[in-house]
Amino acid sequence: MRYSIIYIILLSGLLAACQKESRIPIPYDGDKIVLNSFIQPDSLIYIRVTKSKPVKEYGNLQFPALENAEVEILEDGTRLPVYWKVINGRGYYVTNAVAKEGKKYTLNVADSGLTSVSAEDSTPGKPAIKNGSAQKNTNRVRFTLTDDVAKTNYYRIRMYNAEMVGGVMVPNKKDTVKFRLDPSLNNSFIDIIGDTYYSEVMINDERVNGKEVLFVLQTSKRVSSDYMMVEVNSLNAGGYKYLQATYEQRLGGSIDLSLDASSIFSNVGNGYGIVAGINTSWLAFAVQ
Amino acid sequence: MSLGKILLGVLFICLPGQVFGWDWRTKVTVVLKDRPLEEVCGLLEKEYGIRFSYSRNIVDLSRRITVNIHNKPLKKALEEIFDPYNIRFARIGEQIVLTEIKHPVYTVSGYVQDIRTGEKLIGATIYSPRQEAGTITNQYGFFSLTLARDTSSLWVSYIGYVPQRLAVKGVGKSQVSVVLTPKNSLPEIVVTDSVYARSQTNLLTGRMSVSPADVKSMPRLLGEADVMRAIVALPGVSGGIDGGGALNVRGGSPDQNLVLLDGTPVFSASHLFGIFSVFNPDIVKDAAFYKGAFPARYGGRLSSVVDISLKDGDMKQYHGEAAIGLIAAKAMVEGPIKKDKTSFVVSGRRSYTDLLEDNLFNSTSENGDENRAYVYFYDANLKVNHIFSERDRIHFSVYTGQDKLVLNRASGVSQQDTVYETTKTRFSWGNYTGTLRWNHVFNPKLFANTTGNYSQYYFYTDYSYNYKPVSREDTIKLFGKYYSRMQDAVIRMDLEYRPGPNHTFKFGGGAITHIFTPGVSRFEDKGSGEKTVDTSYGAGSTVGGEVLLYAEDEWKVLPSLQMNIGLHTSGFLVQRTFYGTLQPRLGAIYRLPKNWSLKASYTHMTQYLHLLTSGGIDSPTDLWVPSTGKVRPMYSRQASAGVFKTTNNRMYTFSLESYYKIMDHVIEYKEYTPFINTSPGNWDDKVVSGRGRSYGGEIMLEKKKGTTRGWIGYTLSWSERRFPGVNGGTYFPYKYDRRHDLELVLNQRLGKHWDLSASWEYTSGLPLTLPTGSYEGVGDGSPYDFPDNVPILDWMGKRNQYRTQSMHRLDISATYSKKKKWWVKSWTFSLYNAYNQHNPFFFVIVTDRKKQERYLSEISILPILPSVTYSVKF
Repeated sequence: MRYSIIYIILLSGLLAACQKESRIPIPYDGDKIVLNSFIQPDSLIYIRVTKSKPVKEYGNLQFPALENAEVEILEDGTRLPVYWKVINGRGYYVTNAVAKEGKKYTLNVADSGLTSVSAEDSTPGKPAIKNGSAQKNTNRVRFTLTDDVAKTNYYRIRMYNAEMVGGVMVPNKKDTVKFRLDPSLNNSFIDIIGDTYYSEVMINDERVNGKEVLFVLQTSKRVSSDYMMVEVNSLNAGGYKYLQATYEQRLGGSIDLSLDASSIFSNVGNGYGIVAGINTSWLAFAVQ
Repeated sequence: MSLGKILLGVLFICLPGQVFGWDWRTKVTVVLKDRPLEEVCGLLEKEYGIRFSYSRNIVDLSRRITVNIHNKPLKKALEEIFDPYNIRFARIGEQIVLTEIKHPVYTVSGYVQDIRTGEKLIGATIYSPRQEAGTITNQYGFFSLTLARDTSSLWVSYIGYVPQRLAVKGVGKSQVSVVLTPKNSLPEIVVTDSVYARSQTNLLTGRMSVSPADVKSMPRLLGEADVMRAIVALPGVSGGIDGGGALNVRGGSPDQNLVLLDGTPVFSASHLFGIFSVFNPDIVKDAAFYKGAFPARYGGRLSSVVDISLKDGDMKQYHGEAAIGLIAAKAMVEGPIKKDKTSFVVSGRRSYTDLLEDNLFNSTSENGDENRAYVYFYDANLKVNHIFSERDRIHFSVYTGQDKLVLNRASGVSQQDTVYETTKTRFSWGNYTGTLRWNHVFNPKLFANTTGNYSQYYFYTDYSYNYKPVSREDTIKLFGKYYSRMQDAVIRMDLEYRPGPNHTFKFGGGAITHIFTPGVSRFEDKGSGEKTVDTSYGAGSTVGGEVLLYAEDEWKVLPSLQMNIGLHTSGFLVQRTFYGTLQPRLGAIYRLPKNWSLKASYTHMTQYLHLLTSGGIDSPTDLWVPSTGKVRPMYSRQASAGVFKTTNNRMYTFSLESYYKIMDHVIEYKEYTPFINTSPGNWDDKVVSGRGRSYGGEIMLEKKKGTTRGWIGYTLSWSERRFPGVNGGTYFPYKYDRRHDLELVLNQRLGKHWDLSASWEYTSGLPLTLPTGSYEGVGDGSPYDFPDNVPILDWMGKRNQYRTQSMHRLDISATYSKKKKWWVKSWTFSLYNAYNQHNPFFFVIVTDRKKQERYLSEISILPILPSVTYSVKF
């Protein structure tokens, strides 16, 4: 028994990691324009323009919006007018017209004292999904995706509990269902061996190219809602790389600089951020 | 008598003294210290008018000599001076003519072994002081020395053994068996003297011998002496500051080290994520370490060779050792199967962390979910050695070792639950090796070793998930597994031919079949009966064939100049792509007065294997892959030069060495490749090939005698990499780049029973990539879906442009040994990280939304770790 006590003390020591703030100064490259926009066909284009900050920060984690920036957006070379609008307390430059599928959008932004930036992307086709289904008190949700063989496709999958409002099924976006994909489809070694569930899953079409594939999503909690909705976004390569690389940070995690100090993809020249086409399909269904 | 006759007689009597001024009886005095023989001749001519005649092409008078002759007859003095160098002298007229004596030669060959156990001694020195010629035993304890027939005796010496004079007159054609007696039989504390052997071997071949005594003089982390840790403490070598870790030699990556266990490659050399090496120290006989001046017989890796030889087993009687510590227990038994003919050694070691009941890894949550986890490692060795005849003997050895981690989780075990759900994940990784070696002595000058071996490294994980609703039929039984494997099957023959003391020719060839299985996964939903697709790198294996030929000569060019000249050539065929290389190897040493030496080497090395590493640290999941049509073999060129000094009493040695190394076609994953990638397609589409370079200097000062021993090693080094698309295609510090590295190792013997050890390591900061700005992120197109918390992203600066702070750590241990009638017992007390230094292991950016703060945080592991181990040896 005494031996066990020594052993527990030893292992406690082994496992007891010590964490403290580092004295290493964090460098700063200076202020840069941050340009963010996911361009969804049949929707107005919302352009968020902010300024970067030093990494080390005490007291304010908000990023200042550049309200007086010169923002230009071109649709296949044709300029679209934009106006400034505050939504949910955040300022955006918004187009008057909706985006269209298969168009190329170019954004140029300038602001006094900062280097001008530009970025461009096109809007992809809509993902083809069908046959959503789930049973209550189980942890499986199924749907079918048909991949377009003619293109290289990138997808993001999310899932929500939903409710019927005025005869229309509405996703509860504050209640994202955590899930994981069948490991054979998402190419994640971690999923094979781990027990991790995600708010969103990114896949490319390497394994499903041109196929009609039944996706089986394993939820972290048993299904209890009466309705569910599956959201599948179609992306181009840039948007896919961006969402994949920023998953941890976007959803509240921290980056481990020792393990994986990889760069975040950005297609914004001279600045930070992402301009990416996105096209979303929704699948709504009643839980059985 | 006529006047004429009288005058003639006077003339003849006086002539030598008057005309030549000297005769053989002339008394001479010659006192010179460490001067060339040529100066002896000059002195005699100047002082006594004695002129010498000789051809420089025939007679070498550059050899240095210390002479202290007072008032001796000339003939006796010359005999004393010239005879040891086989120089004949004769008087012709007024000159003394010098010529070389052509002695008939003969060859002495045989084995050097321990008198008690019959264990063959590697690197034992056989030396003729009179002829200043000698050799060392090879990896099998065999030696061959061709000398002048009138050589009367040889001296044979080895670390920790009483030197012995070997009378060779009358030795016939048969082999000799030299038995050496340990200085302390069955000692309470092993007293060793590695001075002679290490300095000699080091000088001759660039080989650094790490004896078991060196290993046991290191502090014992968690009670374990460790050969790899002793190597890490040498200059030019670094490991993880916490817990040992992988071996990085002169800026190379861990996969660039050829680790051989009885000649068989071992792909993963550590347990418990680097805390222990896989080599049980109780059965390690010798470890040779090369970091430059690679002999031509080695190939296949760029940065180092660690050649570990296991004990053969006691040929005389049974012995054993057993030890138990806080983490692991181990035992070893050796003895004769047939006395003086066949011996065996068997050993086993296992951690027993999983066998103890503890609450650290096992828990039950409030809702009844049960979690269990356990981890352990084991290894086992068996070796059998059989002597068929004086000419033939075989060695057969096998090794297996494994680390295992199991995680179990069960939920729904309570009565209220509607679903029963269990998951079980198992990880295991380890090595299997098997070796069969046949030593054959063709004749006293020609020795051959034929080896067949097999080595496998594997990483395996499986996952099972059972899901069973109580009230409905929707049972799910998911099973998945993933594994990667690297296999080598080798057949090779090595020959040693020693025609005389000035040459040792080593040559041979071999063939290696490399089988790469970089990642296979299988998934099956047993509930539905459907087999799912494989997501691995191809679900199959790639076979690569390698053939090699080599030849080298350890050549004593001059008495003061020795060289190792060799050529290693190999070819590699994989997927219809062939690569062939010629790899020249050159090592030289020039002896200066006062035991100083100059060393220099230039080597080319080729490596056909690559290790795909994800992220910033090495892990068991890393994948061995071959060179392909897209990814070329790694290729290095290394030049090094240095000086070496031994004090006259061989108490201290000092070495200073510098090196420059270039490595071509090193690889890493392209950017934006997901962590631990198992996606389909060719892995070689997902990597980028670049160049590495490293350079620096190493200093080592060692005290080798007395009750206080140890060394100070200092390394100043640079290690850089260059990849297209990273940091603008310019060189950046490699992740193992350490500018300053200081190692202090101290061993103190106290009386008969206590042995104290300490090691202190200091390293300047390691490369670190830091973010250089933070900015707002986005996840959705619609601003109405913007999350409550602003996504904060960090923009990474240039790769490895920043440094962590310096790191240091002290390890100490004390061993108390007591000899009983039949056995020796010992207690070892050790402290790892004795002053509890918090060296950072991970760096993370912490975001505290509540306080609206962001800062850089460092996480350290492995605080002070005490341990105690009890062992017995009989």
